[in-house]
Amino acid sequence: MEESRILFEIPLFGYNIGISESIVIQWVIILFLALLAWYFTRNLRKEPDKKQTVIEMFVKAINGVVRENMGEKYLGFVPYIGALVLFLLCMNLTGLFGFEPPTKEYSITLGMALITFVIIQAYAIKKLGILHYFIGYSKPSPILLPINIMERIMLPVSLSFRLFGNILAGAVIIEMVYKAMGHFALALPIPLHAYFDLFDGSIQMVIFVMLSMVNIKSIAEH
Amino acid sequence: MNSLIAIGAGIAALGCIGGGLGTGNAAAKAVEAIGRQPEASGKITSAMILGLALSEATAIYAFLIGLLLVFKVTG
Repeated sequence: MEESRILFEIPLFGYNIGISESIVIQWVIILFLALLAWYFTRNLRKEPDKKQTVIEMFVKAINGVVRENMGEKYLGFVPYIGALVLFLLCMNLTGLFGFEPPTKEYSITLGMALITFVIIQAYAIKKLGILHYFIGYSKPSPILLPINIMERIMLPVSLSFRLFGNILAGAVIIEMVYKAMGHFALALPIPLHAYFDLFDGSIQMVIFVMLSMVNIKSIAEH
Repeated sequence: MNSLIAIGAGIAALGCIGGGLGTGNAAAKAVEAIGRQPEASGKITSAMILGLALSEATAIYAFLIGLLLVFKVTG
């Protein structure tokens, strides 16, 4: 976890908050996705034209995934899952544009995993009530209480380290190849980019989203 | 002392053996199941990805320990 480059600093409440390159990349991705959302949802109609068909296909696909993995009652999670899919995919694919993927920094993957952790616990409390939520820790038997607590805490840890480790390994290998070849890096990095950025990046996104969905459902229904 | 820590980090990477075995096993069984029942491939694939992710977790803990040891050497 080498220190990332600090581009500039923002003074806030007496501290200087360093803004690194990966945070700026995230801002660009957020802006890009917001513009995309604005462009695709302008003047929606009953009879879809070309661009509306594209976005409807995407929404339908996410709907299908949520329905298949979580069930009909959980369709309220579609916006969160869809946003997670797009944001993680964009972050993992920045390697193709000559930047390093922001997900190779642990702070960012931990942030993503903590969001999922908070959603899991909050939804379980909302659905079961605070009393039954805490009773859930001692199921199926009270002896398993410490193991259940460990399990819930280890979920965001393993979720974030899985994403971080895979993306970091890919980024380090690609960087080594570029450094070794110098100015002659013409064709060899292409299959590496295809494997580590396209394939591994999308697979890790799928795994992150899948585990989020399964855990939201299983902890709310234990 | 530093060299011993580095060797320890290398030994921690041996934990990846378990992850590799588990991942290979899960993928092999999934291929077998799809060969037997091609129409259920969608469900099998999503179950396989979950299993792969869970079996990968052990390798990730090995990676975490290796990382902690390496930063003890360099940092």
